[in-house]
Amino acid sequence: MTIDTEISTLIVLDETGDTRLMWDPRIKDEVDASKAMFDKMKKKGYLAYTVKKNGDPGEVIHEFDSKAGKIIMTPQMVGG
Amino acid sequence: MAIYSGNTAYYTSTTWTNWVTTGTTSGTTTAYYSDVWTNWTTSSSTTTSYTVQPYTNVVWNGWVETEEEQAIRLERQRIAAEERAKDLAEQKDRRAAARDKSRETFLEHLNEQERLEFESTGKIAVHGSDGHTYHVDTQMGIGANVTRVEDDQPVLRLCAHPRAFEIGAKDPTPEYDHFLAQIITLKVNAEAFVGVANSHRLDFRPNVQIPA
Repeated sequence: MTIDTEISTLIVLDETGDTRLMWDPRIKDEVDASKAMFDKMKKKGYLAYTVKKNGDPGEVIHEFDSKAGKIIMTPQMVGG
Repeated sequence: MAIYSGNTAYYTSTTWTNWVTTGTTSGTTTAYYSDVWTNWTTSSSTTTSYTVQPYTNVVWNGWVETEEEQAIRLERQRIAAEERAKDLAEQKDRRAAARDKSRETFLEHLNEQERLEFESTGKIAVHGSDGHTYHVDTQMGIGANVTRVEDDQPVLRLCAHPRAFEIGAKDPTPEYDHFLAQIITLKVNAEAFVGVANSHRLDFRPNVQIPA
């Protein structure tokens, strides 16, 4: 018997290119670490988007969703 | 200022010239301020050649430093220059790696059509959440590289992107991160993008309505 486990990913665009965190929604420590990173970047003004299965951006989220599948965080936009 | 002595008026300049004039067998030669300074700061040898120490800090260091102290100072300067060169080389490598990584992430989030456009022209058509079409031009850098298009005509140029340096960052956010952030924001929240962007109207036909 195989268990279908979907590993979720948080991608934060930053000065290194990006930083990625992966978590198993069933493992509390991994979820907590990812939520901590999410909250830290939100405090810095980052915007968070869910990503659909086909790779297209989904919607803006303001709270960490451990079942989102894939979240991408971008720095805040400024007028150039 | 004139100084009178008998019938001769001596001007300050004349007095100065006398001070700084060196006599020769064939008359007098006028020396200039620079000659005086050079004489003060040169060491003569048995020949007529001079070692010129023209900089103030060289004279100062000569006054206050022993040879040993000078050697220590020069060694410190050499080490500092080496460290600076090493830091710059590391920074260059780090930024190149970040750029490559951000390009991979950027490509990973383009659909097939967008990837083709990127590879052929560098300009990606994005269907904004506000119903408009935008072109993100990756050949123009990160500033003013977004254009709204109506009926294949560019009508509005927009400039908005992530901050060049995030707070506390040593290096700038790589340009492909900027492009990806622009594309995602346009797809999900184009109103916010247009709201924060500096915009320049490109189409002045009166029948073309361009929302603020």
